[in-house]
Amino acid sequence: MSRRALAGFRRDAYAMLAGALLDPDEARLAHLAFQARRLQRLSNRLSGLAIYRQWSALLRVLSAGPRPPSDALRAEFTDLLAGPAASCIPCESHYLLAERHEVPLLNAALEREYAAVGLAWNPKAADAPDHLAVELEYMAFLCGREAHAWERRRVEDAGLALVRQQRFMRQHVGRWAPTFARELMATGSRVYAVVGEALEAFIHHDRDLIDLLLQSVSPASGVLRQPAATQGVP
Amino acid sequence: MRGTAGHPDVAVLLCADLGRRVELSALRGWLQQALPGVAAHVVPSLCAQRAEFARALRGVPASRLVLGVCAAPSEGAYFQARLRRADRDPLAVEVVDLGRIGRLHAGPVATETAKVLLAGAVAKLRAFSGARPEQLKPVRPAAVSRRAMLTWSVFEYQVVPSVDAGRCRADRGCRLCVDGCPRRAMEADNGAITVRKSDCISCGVCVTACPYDAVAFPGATAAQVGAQIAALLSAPASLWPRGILFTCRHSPALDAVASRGLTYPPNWLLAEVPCVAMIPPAWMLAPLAMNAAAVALVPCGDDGARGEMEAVRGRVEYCREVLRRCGEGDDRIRLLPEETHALADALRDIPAPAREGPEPAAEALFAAAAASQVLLQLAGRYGAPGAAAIAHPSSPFGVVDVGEACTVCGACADACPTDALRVVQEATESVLAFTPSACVACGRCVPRCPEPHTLRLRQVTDLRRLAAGPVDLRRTRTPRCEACGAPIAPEAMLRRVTAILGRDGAAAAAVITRYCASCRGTAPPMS
Repeated sequence: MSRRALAGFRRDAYAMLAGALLDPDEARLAHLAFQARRLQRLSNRLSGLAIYRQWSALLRVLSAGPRPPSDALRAEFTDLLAGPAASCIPCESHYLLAERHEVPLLNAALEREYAAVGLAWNPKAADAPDHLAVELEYMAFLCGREAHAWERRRVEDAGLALVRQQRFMRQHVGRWAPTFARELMATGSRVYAVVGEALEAFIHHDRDLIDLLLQSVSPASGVLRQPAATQGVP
Repeated sequence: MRGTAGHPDVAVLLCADLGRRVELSALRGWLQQALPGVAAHVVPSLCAQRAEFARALRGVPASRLVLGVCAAPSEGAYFQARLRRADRDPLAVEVVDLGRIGRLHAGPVATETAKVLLAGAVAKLRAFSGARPEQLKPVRPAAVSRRAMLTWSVFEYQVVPSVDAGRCRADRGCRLCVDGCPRRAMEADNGAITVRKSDCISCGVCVTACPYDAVAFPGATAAQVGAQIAALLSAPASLWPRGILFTCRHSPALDAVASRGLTYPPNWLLAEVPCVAMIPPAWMLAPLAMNAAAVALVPCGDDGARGEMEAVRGRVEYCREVLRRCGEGDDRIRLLPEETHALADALRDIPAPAREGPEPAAEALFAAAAASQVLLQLAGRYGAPGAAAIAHPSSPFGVVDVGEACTVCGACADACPTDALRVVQEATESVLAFTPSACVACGRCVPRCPEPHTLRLRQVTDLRRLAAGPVDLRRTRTPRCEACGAPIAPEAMLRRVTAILGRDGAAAAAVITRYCASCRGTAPPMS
């Protein structure tokens, strides 16, 4: 698997996990099914990754399309993730903040993080900046940048994208998503337990993988001229 | 949970190319007959052809696999990918290098040894409780070509430990795994332990440093190692007496013995661990308590935990001292030399066991909490004097004593990560209790004692105290609050506080000694 292909797979994986945590309407489920079938064709290559088993299970579930009927799935989604009595709250503030009044500060910090790469926050967006789907979409965006950089053989740009991924993973999504995933797995829902299992495995794996990929573009490897962390990443 | 003949839970795949060295049909027949729930298959070219391996995987329903191979797989990443594609967990696979056994031992002896080693691998696999996603970290392939700078064809994975938060006592201040890690790869943060995977070298030292078996490391947990050793010592075969040969997983020492045409008695049965630096005294002594004749450690040839070899030497010396005190020859425990010829020489003889024939194995002896039981069982077997106290810098146990100045304030108990020291509140008295079998001599209690030269910790294994169980170190009356009747504090502590306050603080002392903390603000004024 080339580095571009690996970054591309990671982009698709983050986007797919983000989609699986949003309202499962017909259009979204159809799109997820299409994406899952596309990724299933990479099966041989993905077996080299330790997350293969959990990931295959997720692709099997998502590629089946709107089954169980999306109404039933939407009811489950509301119970688990979105309703007023949701049993798993997919927000960073719920896991990492001790005080409610700190939530706006966290969201402001996240908006600044998104804005630094040119993403403007839409104030009409239904989900808060610390919603897991938003954080996963942001990681997907960074992986997309990395893939683009590899495609053009711009190693330094790829390194910078990896630095951002590493920092966001360590400061935000990597700190709480595995705990959330374990709670999702414990709910007993067939579809969401599979999503939780794949999410937990993927985040653990990607946290280490980013470190490893970054090592390989470190100054010692001769790819970056100076430590990526000092290359002006705000 | 064990399978049945119809639904085996473990499949053993034997490479047909081993047929030149091992009697495969006899081996296969024995495995299926002697080990219920095991299906054994002989696979042509299992080691040489990837396609054969993939085909064999498709043909066996069992989820756990033991592979009897000609040589340990050199392309670990492809091997693991094949297993994943066949819906198998690569961590639920044990590889037994039978090729080396065939090179070391000839004919029927090699077959007998193979039987016992495979039985050990099956038992180890059955004790595997499953892996967690955080227990694998991707690592750079050993050799990266220049072209590979822009490609990443395949990943290799290293098994790393994880911490079971349900068992871990970091919230009570325990840091034994953090202190034990030779690479400082474990961190305590907010009452929880995290593994810094980038620094972890997978030596397994943290597994045995934890007194609660809270560190999980697939392939090296106390349950798995205990099950394997028990199987090695109890599987029926003609190889008796038996010695246990602990070796690091990546040590080249035994391959070097085989490749130079040297050999050692087949009674030495191999148990691979991530690194011999992880083996505590209890694991060295437990096989002897299960009637093994001897235990030997192949020194670590890896740079990773090499700094730990001094500690290994200390533990071996401690175990030998235990044997001497028990009136036994200390050559039952051996740390082997690194040089190949000397290593083979050191394994040449194996002493007779203390009793004839195998005994029911007790794999639970490998659990962290069973360390004292190992010593007592061993002392019973060898008829050691009951009062033996072994002072040694590598003693895994400590003995705490307190002097008259102890006020039972409980500071030492708060610092004790294993609850060896506890303050017990009885109806009228406060008691500082000590459980010798729980003390790991970590020394955290000593600096916490506010009274100088009062608490003394000796690194001593005292068999009499281990057998006797918890003892009261200090007992003092607990006065009751005059307002609400609740216990105030240990009387010795109140006396000490009064002495510190002196004449100037007499009024305050009078309040403190008569009322509990809740009632002090509302207590009637002192006359």
